[in-house]
Amino acid sequence: MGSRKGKMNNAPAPFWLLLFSLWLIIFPAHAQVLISGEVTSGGKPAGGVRVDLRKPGASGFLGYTFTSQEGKYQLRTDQSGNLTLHFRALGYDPLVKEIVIAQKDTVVNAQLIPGGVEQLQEVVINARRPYRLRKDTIELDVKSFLRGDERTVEDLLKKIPGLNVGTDGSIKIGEKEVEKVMVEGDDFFEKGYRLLTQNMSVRPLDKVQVLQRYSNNKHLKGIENSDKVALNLQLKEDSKSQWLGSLSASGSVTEPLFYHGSINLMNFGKRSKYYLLGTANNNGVDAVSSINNLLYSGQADEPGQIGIGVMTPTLIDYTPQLPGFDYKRTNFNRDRLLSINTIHNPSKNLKIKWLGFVNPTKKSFYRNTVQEYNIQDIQFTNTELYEFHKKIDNYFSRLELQYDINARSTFTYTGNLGSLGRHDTGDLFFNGSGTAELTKTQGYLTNHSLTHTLKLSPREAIVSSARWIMQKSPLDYSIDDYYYEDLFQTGGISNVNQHAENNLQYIGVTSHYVRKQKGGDFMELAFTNEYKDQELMTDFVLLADDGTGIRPEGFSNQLSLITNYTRMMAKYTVKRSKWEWTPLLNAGFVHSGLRTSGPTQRRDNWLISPGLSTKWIVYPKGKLEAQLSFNQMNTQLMEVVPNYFNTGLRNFVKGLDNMATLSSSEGTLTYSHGNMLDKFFASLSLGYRTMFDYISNQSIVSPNYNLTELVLLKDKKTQFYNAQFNYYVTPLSGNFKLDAGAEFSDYETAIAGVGNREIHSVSHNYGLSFKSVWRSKLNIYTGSNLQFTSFRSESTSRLKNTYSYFNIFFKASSDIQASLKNEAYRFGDFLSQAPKTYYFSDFSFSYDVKKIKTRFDISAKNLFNNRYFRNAVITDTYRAVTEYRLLPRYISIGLDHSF
Amino acid sequence: MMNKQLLFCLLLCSAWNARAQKLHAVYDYIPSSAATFREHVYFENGTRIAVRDSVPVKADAGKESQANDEISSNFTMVMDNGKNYRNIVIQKNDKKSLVETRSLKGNNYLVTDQFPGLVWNTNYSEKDSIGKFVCRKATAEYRGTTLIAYYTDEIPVPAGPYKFGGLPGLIVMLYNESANPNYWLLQELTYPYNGNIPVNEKYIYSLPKLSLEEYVRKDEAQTEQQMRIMQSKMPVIDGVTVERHKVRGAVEQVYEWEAGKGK
Repeated sequence: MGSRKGKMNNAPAPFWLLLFSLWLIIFPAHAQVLISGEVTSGGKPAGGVRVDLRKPGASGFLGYTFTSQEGKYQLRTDQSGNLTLHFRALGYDPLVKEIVIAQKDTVVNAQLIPGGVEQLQEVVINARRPYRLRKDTIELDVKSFLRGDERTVEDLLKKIPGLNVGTDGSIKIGEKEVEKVMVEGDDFFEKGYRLLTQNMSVRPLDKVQVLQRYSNNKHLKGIENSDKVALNLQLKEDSKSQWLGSLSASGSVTEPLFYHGSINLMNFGKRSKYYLLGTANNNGVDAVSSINNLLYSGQADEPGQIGIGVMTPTLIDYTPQLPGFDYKRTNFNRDRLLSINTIHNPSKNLKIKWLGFVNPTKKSFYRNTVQEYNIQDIQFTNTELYEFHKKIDNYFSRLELQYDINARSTFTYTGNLGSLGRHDTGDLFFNGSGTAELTKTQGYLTNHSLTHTLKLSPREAIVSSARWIMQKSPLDYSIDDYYYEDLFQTGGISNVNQHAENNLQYIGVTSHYVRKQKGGDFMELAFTNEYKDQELMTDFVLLADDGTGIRPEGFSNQLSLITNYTRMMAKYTVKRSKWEWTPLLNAGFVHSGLRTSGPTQRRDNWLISPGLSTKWIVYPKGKLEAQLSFNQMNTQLMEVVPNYFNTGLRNFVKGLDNMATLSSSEGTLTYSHGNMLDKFFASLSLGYRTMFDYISNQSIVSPNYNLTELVLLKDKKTQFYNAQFNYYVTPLSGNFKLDAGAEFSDYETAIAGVGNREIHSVSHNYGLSFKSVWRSKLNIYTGSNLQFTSFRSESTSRLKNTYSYFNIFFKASSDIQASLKNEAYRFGDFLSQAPKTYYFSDFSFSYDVKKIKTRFDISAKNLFNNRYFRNAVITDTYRAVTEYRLLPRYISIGLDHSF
Repeated sequence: MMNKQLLFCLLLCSAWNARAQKLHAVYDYIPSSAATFREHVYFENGTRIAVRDSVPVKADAGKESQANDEISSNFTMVMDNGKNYRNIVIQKNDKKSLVETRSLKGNNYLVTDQFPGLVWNTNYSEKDSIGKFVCRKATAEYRGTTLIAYYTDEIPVPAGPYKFGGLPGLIVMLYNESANPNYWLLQELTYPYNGNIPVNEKYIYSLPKLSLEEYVRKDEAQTEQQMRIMQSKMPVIDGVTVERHKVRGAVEQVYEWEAGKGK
């Protein structure tokens, strides 16, 4: 063996020489002695015999070696006195020789006798598995990924292969978004984890664990058929129970002032964890979007979860819709957020979590819209100049208690309390006449749930929950002008008001049984009862100059919708190595009562929704997935409203005034070849959706108002496909990606004076991009997307939009980085406006001074100083161009310090 | 079956002579929680031959928590390196250099490793029983990592899995200290072993030759290429160019020729 040496000859020679000479002077008696000799058996040399030196009676070795092929050995020792030399090898009787070490080298020869009892046969060792990690856990050592330029946890996660971090801070593994990011096994923010990952410093981190097949309910781990992923951050020992934090500030160097500041403080101990965050900015960044995830939290696709997504409907919403455009450019804001979060583990089986948020925020946007209607005889153009200011005051608090009754069962209570205030003012010029628009809401929300999980066996569990939700979202809307004289045939009106009461009460109970079969199959069975009581009152008043109020007939509502839905869900997954089948059935009975002005309308009906999904690995690189389902659902509150209500300025909507059941069927087929590691990676999906019953519009369109009545129609058909091809070109060291997709729909709408219109809508998307992975300091990402939209009815309207980008990344060293992002948006010839291209360019530079744990950065936004951005849309009734005001060019400098 | 073998063994024992006998040890090699490989180690006359199967065995087969086949997750990605050959390590007595076969792009190579040797620290008093064996702990620094071995005095054979050995007794368990440890765990032991060593040395020595340094360079260039392919397909992250620090998943993390360059 290459390592036939004792433990004492590993130090460099000069060291030994020095030590040796010291010993020669001080302890002459302790000089090293060489023991050597020859081991034979039957006169022949015996190789591979272990020779070890021990103190008499001891089992520990003072030194050991193995004899060479020639049976020779050498052993050095600095021991003296009486020692024993043991000779041992498989197939020989052990031999022990007593020796006395003097100052001289000693020769000890030995003759071994063949024999011994050592025949070893098929010793199967059932040792404990040494793996410290549980199954489905990948542990990553943070050190291995640190390149020195990371400040926040997010910066680190971006560097871990396989983890993708989106521009919005969402973290994905492959295509799957992570459920949560925990710290030492405790979770603060659920899906709102951005608050943590974008703000917490990377310094205290030791390890990142990727938890695959994760279950939010620990008792369901291994039982649930989960493909969820979560992350757990483990901290360095010396960082635990210490206050850590970071501070960042940046501001523009010239007027107008744009700033961003944030402070984080955290302390993660075994018993208690604290996380405090304060942030303020006016540079367009939405500091509070993550809270939305907490307001309406919960996982719809998890056993025992009910009442997810149950909330009061929104009546008026003016949030700018700019798909694909960076919202920060149009967001004139002043965001402030203060958040205090704690987790306590007072005992082993109790966990208390409390979160509190306050966010006084202001947002403004400015938009000018030109809307053109051109449907046979109905031809007009509306212009709207709009300045909108939104003031938000949200207070939100959440308490979570988790109590482990025993190893197999847990009680969890979650209670939310929120006060959601909004005060919007709009300054509007509509077709040349000015008005002020006010929207005010002061809503309350309380949401409590109690869950009990019982693990019946390692393979099965029952999760039972009850939830109570109460929400009130009143709304006051007013405009100080009167546009509806044509409609109401009343003059002398100065103000228009709509007061709305919008209340919800929900109580639900469920019991959900989950079982994992021996062969790996999964089974689920759930029984649920949900009671929902919704009230909507809208009071539309025209205020005359003399202060009297006129309530036009058919424009106010008073309704309540009470539903009691009892249902069962059964699901079975047959899982084999190459394929998987999941049949699913949802069946239930609904009692509904709709009370409007007249007597209560009652309706009892069944809702039956079967489905089937399958996955099949056709060949090692090829995967086929298919889903087929038939769905039934009842009309919701907003669809049954008997009279018109205002949804902002000139729009009025009314529902069916009746309840109905909507049936639809849907199917998709997805085929993929290869994965991200292959040069060629492609996927193709095809699908259809047929709505046997659907809700469409019947409108009365005029310049000053739109009256939309919902109508129930039959057979809306939609088909779609999406394809993606990736090819890595070796000589160019980069990936080309081609995207193509289209959606085709056929349905009907109706317009007064035109009649029923058959609409055929088509949208196509094409994209080509190139991303380099050059070894140089420079890298690029460039591409272009095209979008065609068309609506065909009595005439055809088309729109073509293109978007191109060219981004350059420069990394001079690990501490100096720069990037330049260029974008171009172009809209087709539209509404007699010449095609226009908008160019945007943003630059950023950062320099990290690790010595003082500080990073400095300079960023320049909107280098071409575009003050407006125009976006074009078409729908089946109108075409519109909307121009948004943009944040001007500014250059800011900032620093980021962690402590 | 067992009886037959016992009989066979007894017959052999009657014809016992002083010649050294072959020892056969089978280890489970667990490079990650996702896969387990079988490694057969043959030890005879100071020559150790380790043969590692290229096809993973089912981990925990027959045990309660059976691994599911990952068909729903997009996460698992298997690198396609073409044909995989068994990894064979041959280390002869008294020689520091050892040879191993490694595959690269579907070809098999004979790779010569100027093995740095292992300097074991056996100064641990702790004992641990693993299976039937009372084991002692030993540690050694090896190529950028620390090896932790548990060996048994009762089998005085300086053998172990892969390239490891040189302890006073057979290695029963070995792993490297890391966030992603590679484990070797003894499963079966036969002595004397009368089967043949399923290694054709003639074939092995006729393979195209590479030094370990050359091999590692080529192999990592290929891996890096794959990582770059993956990176080129990933969504762009705002304002950051992603470059990955090379992380060697294997037990060998820093080679001698890289010493001084830093991690």
